[in-house]
Amino acid sequence: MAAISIEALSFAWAQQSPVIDIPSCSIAAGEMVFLQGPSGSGKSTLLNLMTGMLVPQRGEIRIGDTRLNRLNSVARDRFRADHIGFIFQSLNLLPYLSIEANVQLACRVSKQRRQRAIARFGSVQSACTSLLSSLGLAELVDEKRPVSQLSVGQQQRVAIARALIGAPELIIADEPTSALDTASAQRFVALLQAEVKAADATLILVSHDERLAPQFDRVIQLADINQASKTMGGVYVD
Amino acid sequence: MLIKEAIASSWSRRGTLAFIVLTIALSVALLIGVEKVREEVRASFDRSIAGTDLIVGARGGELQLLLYSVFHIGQATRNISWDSYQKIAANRYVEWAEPISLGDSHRGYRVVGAAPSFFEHIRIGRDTALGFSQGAPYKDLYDVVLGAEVAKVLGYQLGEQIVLSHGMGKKSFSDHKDKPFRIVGILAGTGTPVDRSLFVSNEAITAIHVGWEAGVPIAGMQQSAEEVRKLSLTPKDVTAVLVGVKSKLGTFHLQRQINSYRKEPLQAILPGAALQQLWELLRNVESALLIVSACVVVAGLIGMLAVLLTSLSARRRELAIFRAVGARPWHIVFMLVLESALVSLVGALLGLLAAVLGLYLLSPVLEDMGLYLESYYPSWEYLTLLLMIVAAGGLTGIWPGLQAYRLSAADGLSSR
Ligand SMILES: Nc1ncnc2c1ncn2[C@@H]1O[C@H](COP(=O)(O)OP(=O)(O)OP(=O)(O)O)[C@@H](O)[C@H]1O
Ligand SMILES: [Mg+2]
Repeated sequence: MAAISIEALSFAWAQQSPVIDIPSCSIAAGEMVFLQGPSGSGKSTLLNLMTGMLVPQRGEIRIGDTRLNRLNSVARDRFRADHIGFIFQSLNLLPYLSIEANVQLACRVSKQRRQRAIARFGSVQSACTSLLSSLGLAELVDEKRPVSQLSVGQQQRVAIARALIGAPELIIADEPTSALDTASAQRFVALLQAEVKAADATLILVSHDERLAPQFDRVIQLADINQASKTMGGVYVD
Repeated sequence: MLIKEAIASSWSRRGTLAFIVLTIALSVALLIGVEKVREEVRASFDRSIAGTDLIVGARGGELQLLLYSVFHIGQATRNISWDSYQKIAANRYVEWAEPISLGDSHRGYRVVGAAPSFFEHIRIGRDTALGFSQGAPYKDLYDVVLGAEVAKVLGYQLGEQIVLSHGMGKKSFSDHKDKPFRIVGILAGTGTPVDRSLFVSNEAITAIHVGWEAGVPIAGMQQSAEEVRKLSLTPKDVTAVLVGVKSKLGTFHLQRQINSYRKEPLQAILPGAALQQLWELLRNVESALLIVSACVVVAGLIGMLAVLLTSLSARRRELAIFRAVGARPWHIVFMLVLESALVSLVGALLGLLAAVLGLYLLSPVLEDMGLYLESYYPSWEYLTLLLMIVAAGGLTGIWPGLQAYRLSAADGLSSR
């Protein structure tokens, strides 16, 4: 079964020509996808459509067997909470919560993820501890280090833990490495992939950085699947 | 519900929120202070007159008579004759009648000439009699009984000798130096003007004014304290008569009889009714005060609204994170409502505390103005008021909450 399938999807920001126009695209469950495209080509917009933050004007977007575009906004929020882990480019963490509270936030919002974490690890707390230690963050937790005193790389790793806790099926990361140097970026991706694999999830990662591409099962150039970019060819300069 | 997270978030912005808390606290303190003072004023006035059925004095304004006879505000323009007093006292409806003679003072406190039975008959509130904390009513001509506050403020003890002054005012012009009084009793506190009075017998008032018929001591007419004892000291007139009736039904008959008394222009007033006149007079002032202080609370809440709305742009990142983990619209709205409700709650509680503290600190000033606070603590009724303020505060958070949701929906999950 496909983790994500898109059909005749079209989205335009208010009163603008479409940014996204994808006739068809499918991503298999368990796949590690590297999504590439120049700045402004609509990568983030597509991710927002996949997470249900945006609603397409036309077409269908299916995550697992749920048709996102058929859900109302509250149901989409709930769906995102239950099934999707999201990692931002940076500043993923709430500075006023501890590392662990930041990770557990996902389980606080989603009952389903809370139950899965408990089923697998006995408690949300131990699910959190286990994830953080496999991401090499156990010491920082023991030190009770405030989130604001973590390096960017450490913060991004905490974000992985939050995206993965409670085993959501789909992990989406929007340029999670752009604040990291090449070596740490590669290490970060390796860690992320190991965790995603362990959780049997699907990964979609957006990046400008071509050097990361070899680490992935599949590389998608947005321009290849997105017809909107063709009609506006040459507009984007990276 | 993200209660823990919402509180942590508010706490992380406590520096800014403290100012709103302060604003709300001040406005609530003002509101409660005004309400409390209003209540206490009424309670204290009611307490002072509760045991008296009629007040008889020279014809004039009803309110004026009430104010000078009981509250020691203003002065009588005329006195009533001793003869009239005796007629009243002998009336068949009358249970007791206490003549009082005013006009002298001691260091700013009024001296009340009254019979020893005054202490038996006058009631504080419905049925509390005047009690003595020390000593007893006067027996000798030159004995004086002090109200609780007089004794406390001036630091007087039983047995001390004091001198009364002619007329009112703290710096008295002429003292009755030749006839000192001995303190024989100190009354228990009542929270009424009694606390701020000194009591001597009606005869003592006559005694100290022998030779003062023109209002000032006339040379050559003075007699010593011991010489005066030999004179007939029955007063010629008194300022007012406080009356208790045998049965409430008699009150109106008696009042009519006194009001139509031929020999002297008298008036008898129902103290409760006269007091009602006072409240009618003050009603607009009271509600104006209340409206102003309510407006200050509203201004505080609007200030909070402004701060919450401006804080949103700085909180976009935070909101995006909540949305990314799938927080529902109501989660976001709830967080802002909780924040504003908490801020209002803390503000309201601090305001309550400030009001109690403020009343405590201001009570000497209020007492100087003639208001004795029975307690500094607001009654349970204020709980409703506080709950209303907290609810209004919570409701204020709905708008920024919806705004926050709209903002986060527009931002999507892009890094901004
Ligand atoms: N909130 C928005 N409102 C209106 N237009 C938007 C909004 N966000 C993005 N756009 C427009 O949509 C287009 C695609 O933007 P998007 O952020 O998806 O690009 P991207 O591929 O993620 O770029 P980058 O690599 O720089 O992040 C751009 O032309 C952008 O101006
Ligand atoms: Mg982007």
